[in-house]
Amino acid sequence: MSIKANILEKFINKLKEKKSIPIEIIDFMESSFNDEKMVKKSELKKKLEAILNDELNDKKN
Amino acid sequence: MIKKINIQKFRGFVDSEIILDGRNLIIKGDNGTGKSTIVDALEYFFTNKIKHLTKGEKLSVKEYAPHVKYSPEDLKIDIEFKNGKKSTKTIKDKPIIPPRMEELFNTAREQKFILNRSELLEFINSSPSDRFKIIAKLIGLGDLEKQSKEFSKLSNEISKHLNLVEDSYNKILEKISKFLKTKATNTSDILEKLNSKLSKLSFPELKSIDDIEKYKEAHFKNVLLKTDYSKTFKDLENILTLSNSISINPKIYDLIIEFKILNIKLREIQHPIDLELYKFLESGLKLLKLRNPKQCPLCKQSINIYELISDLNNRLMKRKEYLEKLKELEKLKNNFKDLMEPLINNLTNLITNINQINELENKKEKFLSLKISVEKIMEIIPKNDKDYESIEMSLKKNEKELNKFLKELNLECNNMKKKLELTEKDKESYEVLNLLNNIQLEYENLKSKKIELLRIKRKYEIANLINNIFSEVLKEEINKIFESLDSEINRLYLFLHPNDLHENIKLEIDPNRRGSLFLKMDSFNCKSRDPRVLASEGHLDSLGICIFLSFVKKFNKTIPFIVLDDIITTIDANHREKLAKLLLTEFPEHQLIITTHDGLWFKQLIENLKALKLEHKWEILSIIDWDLSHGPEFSDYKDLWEKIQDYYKRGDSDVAGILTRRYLEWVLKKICLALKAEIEYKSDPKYTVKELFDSAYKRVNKLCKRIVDNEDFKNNLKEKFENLKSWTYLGNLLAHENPEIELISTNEIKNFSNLVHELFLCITCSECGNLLKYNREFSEIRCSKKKCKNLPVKLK
Repeated sequence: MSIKANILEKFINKLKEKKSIPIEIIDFMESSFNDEKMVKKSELKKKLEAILNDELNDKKN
Repeated sequence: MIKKINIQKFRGFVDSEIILDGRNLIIKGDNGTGKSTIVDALEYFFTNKIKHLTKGEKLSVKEYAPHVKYSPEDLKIDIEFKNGKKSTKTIKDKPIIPPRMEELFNTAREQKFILNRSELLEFINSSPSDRFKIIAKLIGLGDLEKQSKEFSKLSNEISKHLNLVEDSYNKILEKISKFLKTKATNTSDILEKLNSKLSKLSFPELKSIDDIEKYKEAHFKNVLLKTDYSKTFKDLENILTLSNSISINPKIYDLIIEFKILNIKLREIQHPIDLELYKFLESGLKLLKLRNPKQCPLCKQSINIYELISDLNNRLMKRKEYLEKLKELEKLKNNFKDLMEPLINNLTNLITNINQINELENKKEKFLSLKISVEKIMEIIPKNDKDYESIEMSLKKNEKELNKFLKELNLECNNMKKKLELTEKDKESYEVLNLLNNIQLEYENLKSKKIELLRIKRKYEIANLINNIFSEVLKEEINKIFESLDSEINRLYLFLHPNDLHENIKLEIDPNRRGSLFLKMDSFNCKSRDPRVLASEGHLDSLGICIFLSFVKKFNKTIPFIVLDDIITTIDANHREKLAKLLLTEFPEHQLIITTHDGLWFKQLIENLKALKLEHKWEILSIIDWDLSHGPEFSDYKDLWEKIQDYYKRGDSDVAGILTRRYLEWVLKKICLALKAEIEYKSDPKYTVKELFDSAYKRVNKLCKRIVDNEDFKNNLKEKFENLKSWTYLGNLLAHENPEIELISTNEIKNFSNLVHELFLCITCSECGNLLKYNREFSEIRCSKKKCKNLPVKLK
């Protein structure tokens, strides 16, 4: 495993330890890294909005 | 490992193949013969880029790479690997990654495997942030640094948004605090402070701010009702104000008197005859004044002209007076209208206001009829005194009624007003109600802002956590990498510079800045200094090499090859020797591809690999010629002595002689260096054969006198020098394109070549072939290879 892949894996594992981060966000980043792609600010922001909307709707329901 | 590289129509290469079969490569060539093209081809093949084109004014690969005589589509780079797999790169297509070689191709795209001369000092001279980028690229972390920036940008962006929303949330709180006249910090605080206020005013406690509407209905019903009448109250006040301003102007009565007087005056003046008659009279008067006749022009009777003129003047004067009075009458009528109109307007306004209040419906009718009556007065056209009297009477009647109605209206309005007026208790409640209304409104704003705030806080919490964790992991891992590297860099540097006072080289991440890296070393007992302060250019170059090689050694397990493109410039011969040993011994797992234009370095590498018996692992090539149509011409490397023999075999003794002269120069330099001969310092480091020979011979003689136990070595060495001494003139003859060379026989040249080679053999180890060296410390001449068991020649 390359150093980069190793660092990204450690990062994802550390994120998974934090319960406050929605798993969808972690999955989104992990799949991006697996596709050899870095996560762009705009994409992450979009994803965050979508997930927080879902969280809000869940709370309402 | 690379087995074969084929380069077609790329830069100056038309179609060249280098077969390595997994072996390392040393390739020598003069400037412009295509060494770096091989490096560019490798970089282009694996990364689809050529890095040096991106520096300064950018140049596209499409512009740079294709051979000038061919179209870009003809460009092709084929690489065959030791495992038999192949791939091809063209200008359009990236190489197809062979199965199970993904890791190599992916890593080579990200990780640096080529080091060239221009990059050597980048590790040292760059700013800490640029150095971090370079090192990050070296270990393939470039993308991670970009990723770190993306996370940081997002976190900052959300943080700014959060601040804005927090500001507006706080402003609403401030507004509420202003209403409460005490600072409220949150929703429960607002309720607490509001309840404290309510309790002071003896109102019951409010359970939740959301219940304000119910609370208002329960405790402020009366005030709420009264507040509904607030409009009525205002209307009543308007009516009262208006009613106080309504009256019949007393001037109107004066005006009626004036009317009457004027009417009398008009009656007194003889009623005017028609207009034609007055025109006739005026014309007659003019005629009389003009002609002064004695008789009337109409009846022919005698006339008294003076009496007649006087009479006509009187009649015309009366007429004038009558007209003036008529004008006055008109003026009085206008005045009357002006005085009546405000009354009518005020009555209209009053009726409109009364109309707003149902309870005053009966009053409205009265004022309406009064208004109609007044308007009728205005319509009357008086003709005689009776008419004026009738107007005056109507007015007086209306005035009486008006006053009566106004009195009644005032009374009723004031009564109504009294009913609607707030008591002190009402006022107090009304204030509380206002407070509740304001807080209710702002609380709704606060609630929606709080939802927005919580949402952004959550977003920031996630983004910030992602950013922090990424930075921490990156920093932690990079620190680990650097810690493990420091010892490797120091070990390699010590290998190259064992006696120099530089140590403790460290790569340190700036703890206060993201993506920033310091390089420090202890020099001459000065701790943690920037290496540029106390190290020479050559030291800095070799430090750059050590940093690169340490990274390769530690982290480049995936890419099996290292390319060193012409890296030797400022490093002196002694240190090159050490670098050659380091490269040949420290990287047995890697395929090294070394290019150079430097013949000495080329030779040092070859001598070292021969000494280490590694020839079978190396492909040694020289580019001996290049032209645009054919590309580079390669030749296998042979050392000078082998080449000399080749030329003798081909019967070309002239070239063999010229090469022998170069060989002699090289051998003498080696002897001077090995035996530490004194050579006079020259700013131009070119020495003649005679200068080198004299120095070496002088030193040999001196050392020979000290040899005590090896007469054979001593006699052999002295003999070889003696033999050669009488032939050194040939060295000068063979130095240049000397026409006298033809006077020298082939045998003489051959003899000369053999003598030079015998001298060389004299100072090489009979056991391992390495050069012998004078060791001052132990007073001996011994093999330069430390582990060689050949006995040294002892000196006194």
